[in-house]
Amino acid sequence: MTFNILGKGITENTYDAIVIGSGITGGMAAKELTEAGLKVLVLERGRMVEHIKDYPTALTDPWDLPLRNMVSLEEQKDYEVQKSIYLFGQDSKHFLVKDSEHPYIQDKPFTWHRGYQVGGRSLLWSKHCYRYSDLDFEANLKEGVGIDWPIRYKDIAPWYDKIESYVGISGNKDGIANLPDGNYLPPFEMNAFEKYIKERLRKSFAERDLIIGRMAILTQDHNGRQKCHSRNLCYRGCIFGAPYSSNSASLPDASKTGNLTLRPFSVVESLIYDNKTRRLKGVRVIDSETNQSYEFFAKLVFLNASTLGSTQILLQSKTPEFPNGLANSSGVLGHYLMDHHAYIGAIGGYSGLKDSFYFGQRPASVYVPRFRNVKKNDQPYLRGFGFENYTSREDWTRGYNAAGVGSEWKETMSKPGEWFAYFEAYGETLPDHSNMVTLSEDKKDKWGLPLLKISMEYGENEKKMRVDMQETAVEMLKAARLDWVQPFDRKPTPGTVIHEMGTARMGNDPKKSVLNKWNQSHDISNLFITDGSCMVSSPCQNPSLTYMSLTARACDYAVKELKKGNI
Amino acid sequence: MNRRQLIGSLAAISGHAMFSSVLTSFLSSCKNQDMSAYAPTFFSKEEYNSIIEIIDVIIPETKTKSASQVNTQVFLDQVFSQCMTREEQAVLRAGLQPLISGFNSASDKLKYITEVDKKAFDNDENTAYFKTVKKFTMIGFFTSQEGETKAGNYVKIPGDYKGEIHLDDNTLNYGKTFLQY
Repeated sequence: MTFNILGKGITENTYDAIVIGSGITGGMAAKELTEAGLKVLVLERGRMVEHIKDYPTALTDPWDLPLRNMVSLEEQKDYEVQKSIYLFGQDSKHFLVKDSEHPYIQDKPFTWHRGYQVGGRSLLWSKHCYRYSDLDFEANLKEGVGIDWPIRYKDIAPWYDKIESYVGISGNKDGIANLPDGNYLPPFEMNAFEKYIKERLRKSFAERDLIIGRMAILTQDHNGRQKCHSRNLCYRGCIFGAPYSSNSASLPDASKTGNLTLRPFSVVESLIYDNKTRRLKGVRVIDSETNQSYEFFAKLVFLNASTLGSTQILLQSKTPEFPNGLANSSGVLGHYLMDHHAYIGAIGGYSGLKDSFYFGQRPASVYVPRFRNVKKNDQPYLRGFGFENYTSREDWTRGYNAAGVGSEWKETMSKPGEWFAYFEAYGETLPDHSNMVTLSEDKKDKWGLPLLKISMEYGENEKKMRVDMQETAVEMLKAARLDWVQPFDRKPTPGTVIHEMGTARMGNDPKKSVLNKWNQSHDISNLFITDGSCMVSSPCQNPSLTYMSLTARACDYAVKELKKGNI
Repeated sequence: MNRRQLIGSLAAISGHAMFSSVLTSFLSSCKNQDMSAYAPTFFSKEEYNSIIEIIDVIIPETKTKSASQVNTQVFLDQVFSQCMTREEQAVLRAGLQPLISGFNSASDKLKYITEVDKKAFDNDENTAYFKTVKKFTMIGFFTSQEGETKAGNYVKIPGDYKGEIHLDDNTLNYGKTFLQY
């Protein structure tokens, strides 16, 4: 993969399209637009990360990691927020920002996990890929919450098909109405314990099922990438390219067209708006290495800088016509921020199935699709939650929790312990106008750009839902007749699930939304935003598959409109 | 599998043109570092010498090496000095003195450590520090090359996942790769 990295004069700095951001949606936009024949410039604020070559810990053995992967308190000072991510360690921290260099303001506690590099957080995502259904797309309208989604399942279904086929998603067709089946590679196999729990759930509950996770991890070679080799270290960067990332798939494929130019170290200062044509002319960036400013021009701009990053760029790009942020005639830009709420559920242990084990470390977890408020709203709260679950035989770390020393104990710790189950619920969060981001009036980053100020808290609906999330977790593990079951609630701050959504929502009404049903700005026809900021509600399923599908759909529309001369 | 074999098999699996050269840069040499001259920073020299004996009672030499034979004492010293807050360090320091003097004067070292361990897990507050010593002794041993590959079945590249295989009395657990403690 070679990239043409440049910073030349004005004519050379003109493209058909500019994509801002190279994460999971920016990468997809780059692929779709270059394959449609457009000359595309991708601007990435972080450094270059090239597939395989720039995965320095991909094959490092545990004993060769400094401090066996722990990070010293001194080093942690640079990662005040990032250090709380579950995968934080010597093997991953180079894919996370230093908070000391990239500050933001927590008006209320908000954990903002970021990876500023080519590929963004597509290197780190959990890779669960579930479709939304009309249960999700119709909920706001039916319940009078927020505004209606401008699309329905039939609008996005063909794009789910396309994206699933390209990305390569392992999974099973489980026939669950509110979790529509897609195009899947063979599923990962469940272990004996999971099969046992699935059976027990089937006997105890009409609507609760344990299914294998639908994961963007290859179970067979696919589109030039190799299948999974069961290391469960996807987040270090995978030399096989088995987990989907911009680095392993969309950017190399975009590059193959010959139409891609990728420019790392490009911090967007503002979008350049032309008041006469009421369109964007281009993008102004600051080179983060030299602090020099550059302008790049294009007919079309795709903003894919992540939910909060994209909104921050619009808020920064004020003009006399848009004093409250570009493309913000509605005034809702920055509002209705959502994140899922999780970190709650139950754990349990099981002494049966003693002679059953598994081989390899499976990167896929198992999933219980949403079962609350599906056929009718009969709970004291709206919407619902799904469970991402993990099971294994216990390893030697069980020794932390019980007495034991010496030879025999050492031998015991070397062998698999009892079965262990971890059930964690992921719940939907309702959109709320007061959950919002703004720009700081006085605090600036090292490029002189105002800091983002985040203000979000979970509401009453989420609090009521969490009671049920924990109770149903306990209920299921008890129904599976485990030997012991223990609830947990780690009381997460918003942001913890790393599913930021909203702040530039879609909608039919330009007075109440930033984007139309094609992810196109109501105000500026050549501006499209297809990352999580477009979300109108936050269905409990992991959102990236939907972002990618909306991206492909928007690219198709934008290219057609461009050819018709409408953009 | 030695280094050369590993590169060969990976290149064969992938067929990626740049694989061999890239991989070479990833693979650390399998060096056996001599840590006998290590100068502790958290422990005093005397504490350090006692810790070497104590961790070998927790994890003694069996078919596999002992904790100190894989330099767990160095790991403990580094973790305690670099990864613990002042408060956590103070709790450890307060515990270490009686632990070491009790250990040195005990005639049956295993019996002594077994009792301290029991007390700690009976929630005796004064002995809680021992849980920390034991936890990091376990990490030091089980994530060492010896611990991962001899007291565990660490496989660098397992290949196809199998959901169900038969487990017998001799089956070792997989070496831990996702290193969050």
